[in-house]
Amino acid sequence: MKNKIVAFAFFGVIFLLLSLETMAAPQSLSISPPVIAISAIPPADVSAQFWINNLEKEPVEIQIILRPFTATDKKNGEVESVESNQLSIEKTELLNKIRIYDGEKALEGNIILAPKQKKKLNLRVNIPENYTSLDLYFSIIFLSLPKNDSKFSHSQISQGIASNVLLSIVRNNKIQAEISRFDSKTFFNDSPIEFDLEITNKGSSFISPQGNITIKNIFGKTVGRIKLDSVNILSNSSRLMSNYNEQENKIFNSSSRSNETKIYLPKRFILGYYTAELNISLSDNSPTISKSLSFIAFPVKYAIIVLIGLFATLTLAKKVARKLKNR
Amino acid sequence: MTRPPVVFFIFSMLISIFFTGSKYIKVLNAQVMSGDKINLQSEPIVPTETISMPKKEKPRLTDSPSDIYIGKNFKVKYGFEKQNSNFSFSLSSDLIDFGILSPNNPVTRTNLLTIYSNSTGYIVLASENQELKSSENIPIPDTTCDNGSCTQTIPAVWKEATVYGFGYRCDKLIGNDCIDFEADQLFKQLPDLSKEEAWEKVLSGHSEDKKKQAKITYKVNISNAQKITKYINTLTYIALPNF
Repeated sequence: MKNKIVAFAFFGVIFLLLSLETMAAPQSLSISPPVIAISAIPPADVSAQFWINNLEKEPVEIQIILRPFTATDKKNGEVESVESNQLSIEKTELLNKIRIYDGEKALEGNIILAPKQKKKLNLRVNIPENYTSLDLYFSIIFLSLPKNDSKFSHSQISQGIASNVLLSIVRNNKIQAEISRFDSKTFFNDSPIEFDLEITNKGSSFISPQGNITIKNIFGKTVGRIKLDSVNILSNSSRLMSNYNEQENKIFNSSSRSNETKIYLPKRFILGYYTAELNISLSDNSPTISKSLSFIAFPVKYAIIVLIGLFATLTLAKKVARKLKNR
Repeated sequence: MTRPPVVFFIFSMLISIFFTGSKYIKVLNAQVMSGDKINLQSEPIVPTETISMPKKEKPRLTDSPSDIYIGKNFKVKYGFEKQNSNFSFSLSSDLIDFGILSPNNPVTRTNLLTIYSNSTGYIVLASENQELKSSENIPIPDTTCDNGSCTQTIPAVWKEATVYGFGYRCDKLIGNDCIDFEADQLFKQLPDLSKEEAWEKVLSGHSEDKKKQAKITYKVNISNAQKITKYINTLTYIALPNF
């Protein structure tokens, strides 16, 4: 009898605990790649693949939404949503032609990702001949649908992750872009050395500039080379360039960086007169453009320490010499 | 142990397994959405026609994204310079349970947001579909903080137990990507989509090839005048990579 009561109580407690509405679960999604840049010349049956991955142990139901965007005023690659009614008729028509395929099947509603499932999807759009040249930028947003509930007051959380698509329909590949700004301070008393580089794209298609900055000392010797981040610049917009992806720069203490988008030559000892030479190609097929500037670096902090040390040494030496002389 | 207790033991275990398993079966078979459909001011794609691809022109697809793919009359560049550019976003929980609310007893709950990107910067946007509301449509209004000045864009201090409403704050854990919450006890409202308020940025960061993490703290406090019942809403976080 005693055993019965113990067993009943034990499983009764377990049952009660499991009855409580604590079904919250973590959610984790990943997407690859985060940006898809497409250039097409009509006619074209465009196809681009991408992957959505459920990293958690629970299945997740996902709604897929296409949301147009533009560049923000910050000029750092952040996206800003555009209302569908703010798009031109041609862009709206093109957006409506876009389909997401799972294998050979066009998706008509939500998808369900099993635990740890990595699903390959395909973006497809048919661009007929004589289609008008234009650029369309949109995010493919994967939005999880909340499923867990509670008997008590609560907020359900829905998670979304996106891949950005830059779609450019071009007829003539004429690049109209310029280096609108390349400068730095003329005097640095401490590292890091910072540069401001802004590229303006005046054309109707996005561009992907590639380039670097070479730092040379007064003797013409290369003392540093900065590789610019590979980024995209939307049509009729400007972008501030950066070098966050450089390996050396990742060691750079990011918490000490300002929120401005700049190019940094990370911490190193630098003294003298230097030239920074920018070499940049505004697209795959365009020639390299060069621009240079000069600056002086003098580490005042170290100089003061050295001077104090020298002064102390000289004073000490003088005193010792005087004592020796007096003997 | 004699036979009847053994039988009773097995029976109790089976009952518990049944009730436990039934909850998971409900989740796995969830083909029907729970909660309201979220309107992101853009309708989900519902194709009315299927594109037929000319079979002989079908592009070659591989199992992993390479940098560049060239098809007939089009070129696709995937990611940035690194192959297999990855972007991931995690939440520690999909449910924030405030329990039974009681007047003048602020309740706080937390949720961790984790981002990883090895090739691009990012932002995380947040919103709520509505204020916390009961089934009778009684709201718990979004907080305006101690001095009545906080909104979805302007933070302010909220520490008084006699100031009511619902709000949130962001604290950096790894990285420095929270926006606007440098001081302690600053809170903001979440943008309310039912009032057509615009989505707000809660996180923004550079690509640093490492995990970034922030803690979101939600706070809710009700007055004596608020009916003691169940209040719910849906919060949405969307991670958008930079281009």
